[in-house]
Amino acid sequence: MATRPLYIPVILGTVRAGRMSLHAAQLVTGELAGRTGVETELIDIAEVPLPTNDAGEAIKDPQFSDRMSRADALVIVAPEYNHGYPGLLKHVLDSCLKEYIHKAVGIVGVSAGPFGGTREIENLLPVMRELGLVTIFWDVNFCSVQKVFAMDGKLRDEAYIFRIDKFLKELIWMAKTLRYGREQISLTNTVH
Amino acid sequence: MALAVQKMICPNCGVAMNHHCDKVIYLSQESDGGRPFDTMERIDEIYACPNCGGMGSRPSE
Repeated sequence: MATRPLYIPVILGTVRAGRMSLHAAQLVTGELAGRTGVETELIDIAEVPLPTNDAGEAIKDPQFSDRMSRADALVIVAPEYNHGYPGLLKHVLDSCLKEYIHKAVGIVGVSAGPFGGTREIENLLPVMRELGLVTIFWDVNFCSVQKVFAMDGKLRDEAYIFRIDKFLKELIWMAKTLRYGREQISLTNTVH
Repeated sequence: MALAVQKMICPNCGVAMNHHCDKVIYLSQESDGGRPFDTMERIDEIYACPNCGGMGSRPSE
């Protein structure tokens, strides 16, 4: 297996002013950055320059596309808005397609209420599948996020470090497994 | 399958890439033409480079 590091960017999936998901995304990015053999960065969808008068691969941003091509896995951090995921997150994700195929994805839900984005995550799962991404079954749910982080982004509840560790361990396992499959296991030479 | 005819070569490394997926591409998604899918789709072969991890694709023959 190749020894180059895994590249696992974290996508911050909201552009709303005052977004508390930024703190969650920064926390997960920091936890990823501290792991041996992993490269990461935070991708803020507010900084992906896509028009809103068209959609899909026709408006692909070359830099975002290159990052998705290079990625071995993704972390998506997204808040729950009206029981769903943010529309602009879907807009950005839809701008790529082949870039995602057979790569791992883990989802971090964020909400001001008690459910921590569980409904938004459930809504995202079929989208992930159609994009070719492979979901893990650990999530991180930031419930009552305004209590989890101070306004300056400082984490108030250290229990989240343990949960993020479990989440990232499975994501990295899946990323390694899928990288091996993409690069070493042929679709056409599969044993029947 | 195109793989049996000609290997896909990584443009970065020059090594043979691994065919790991076939993906249906709905052309109506690209053009938003709204025409029936049975006349507006193709299958692309998806490849990955075992050396650099680079990706590639081409229409299936």
